[in-house]
Amino acid sequence: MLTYIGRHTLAFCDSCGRYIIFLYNVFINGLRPPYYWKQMMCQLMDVGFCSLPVIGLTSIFTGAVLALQSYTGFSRFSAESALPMLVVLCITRELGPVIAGLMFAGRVGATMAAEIGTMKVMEQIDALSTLSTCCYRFLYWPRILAGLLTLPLLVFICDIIGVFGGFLVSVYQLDFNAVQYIKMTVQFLQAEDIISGLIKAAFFGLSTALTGCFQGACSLGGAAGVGHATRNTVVMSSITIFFLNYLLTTIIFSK
Amino acid sequence: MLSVRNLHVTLGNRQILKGVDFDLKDGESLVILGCSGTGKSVLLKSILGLIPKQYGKIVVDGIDIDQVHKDERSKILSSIGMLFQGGALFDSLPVWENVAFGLIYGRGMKLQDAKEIAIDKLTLVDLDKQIALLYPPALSGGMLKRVGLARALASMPRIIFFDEPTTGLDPITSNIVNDLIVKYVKHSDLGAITITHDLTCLRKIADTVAFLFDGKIIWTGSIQGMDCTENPYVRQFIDAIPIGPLTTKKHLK
Ligand SMILES: Nc1ncnc2c1ncn2[C@@H]1O[C@H](COP(=O)(O)OP(=O)(O)OP(=O)(O)O)[C@@H](O)[C@H]1O
Ligand SMILES: [Mg+2]
Repeated sequence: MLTYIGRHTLAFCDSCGRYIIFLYNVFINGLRPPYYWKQMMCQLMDVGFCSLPVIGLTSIFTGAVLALQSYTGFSRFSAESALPMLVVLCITRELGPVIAGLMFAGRVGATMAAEIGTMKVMEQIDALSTLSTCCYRFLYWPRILAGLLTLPLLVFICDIIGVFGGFLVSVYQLDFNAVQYIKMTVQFLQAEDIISGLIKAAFFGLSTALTGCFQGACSLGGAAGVGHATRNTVVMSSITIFFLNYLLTTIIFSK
Repeated sequence: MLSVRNLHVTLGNRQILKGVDFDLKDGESLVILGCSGTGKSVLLKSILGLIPKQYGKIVVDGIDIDQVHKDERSKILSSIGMLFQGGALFDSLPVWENVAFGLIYGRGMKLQDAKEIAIDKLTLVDLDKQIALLYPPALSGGMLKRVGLARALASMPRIIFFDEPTTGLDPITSNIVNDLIVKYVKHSDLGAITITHDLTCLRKIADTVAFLFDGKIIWTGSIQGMDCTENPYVRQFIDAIPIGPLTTKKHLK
């Protein structure tokens, strides 16, 4: 038992150490030229634009369900009129970033880990450095930058789609007045609500991309290793998202 | 041009290399022999800095690569080309871009110029122009090896490492690959280190033979020397005898 705990503690410290070294190398190398613009554009396209359908669909349903559920709750003490406000606040402050972040972890983080892990076990990352190309600049930096930049954008679009989902349900299913609904939504929304969501999203995107690249780069031994890396990425980045969400909410609230 | 002294490498908790020493002279073709799993690939990778070494000295053209700055070191190491055991081509890039990779991304050459050089190199290894537009998963094993060879040659290395260039190829294709290696190594001042289990290949391309066993180079000599050596390990290997000092119980474990 004691050896078990000891071994796992050591392994944990070991991977923390390697993660920190990885972080250091990514930023030290990534910030220096040469910059691979083509790779960055490809990643922005792949990570950002191509995630839009998945994330958009999740958020429209989230908005719709949120409206339905809260209507049931509110109608118990005849506070239905607060529904638009609740929907927009929930989506922008909380559900938008978290749900988009989780979908992002599943789609983008897993892709990154599998792709980089396969390159690693096929010796392609070794080949990169014999061809005088730094893997941090060429492989990891474009992906990490794409994660950092695109998730806030995605979340912004998601916020709009999610609120729209709530709007559709409220107007066509719950017989709200459309103009009234929009008025209520805009009236209660503050810039701070949206910005706090976007800040969260930037952290989620960064941590997901970093985890994906790190896990991929550490994968060992064939298909099983890549499978491990992919699974670890999804699990770890989802947990990180919930943890960061709590942490950032605390910080933003305490201001 | 390359000397390795007392190289030790440990992976996990196993010591793979226990003090490897050898020299590679200008234009020399050195072949390293050894049983599977003795750490031949590890040796090449640790020279290139892809696997960290425990200690040991690596000197390229008189410069100890541990004594110089990181950028300088990667510049020195970029004069070494490598053909990987599995080819290690980038699946997402077409063949020509694979060949031109070092030129485009390593040296910042223009795409069009690099493409011309790449197609040039592909013809040198007897590959058709049409192949340049295919992707690596669509190629056969022999083609992959040749593309890997073209890629290693494209960046004009001064030393080149071949990790099992002919393993898994039919006799004719492997002969073609051997001839290509002879063409580029023996008839130029390129230094080469080749790992192979293929004795035909060995006889064709080797100037010097080194035998790696139990983490050390235990024998070095010419091909003639190898044929008449009394060294029991080398004898067992070239005569392919199942029972002998290479395969005693201790090392099977
Ligand atoms: N990344 C690694 N981590 C741990 N052990 C490794 C690693 N790479 C190789 N090894 C171990 O090092 C030993 C030598 O491996 P290496 O690939 O150098 O063998 P080899 O001599 O090239 O064999 P072959 O002729 O089959 O290619 C093997 O026993 C292998 O288990
Ligand atoms: Mg090998």
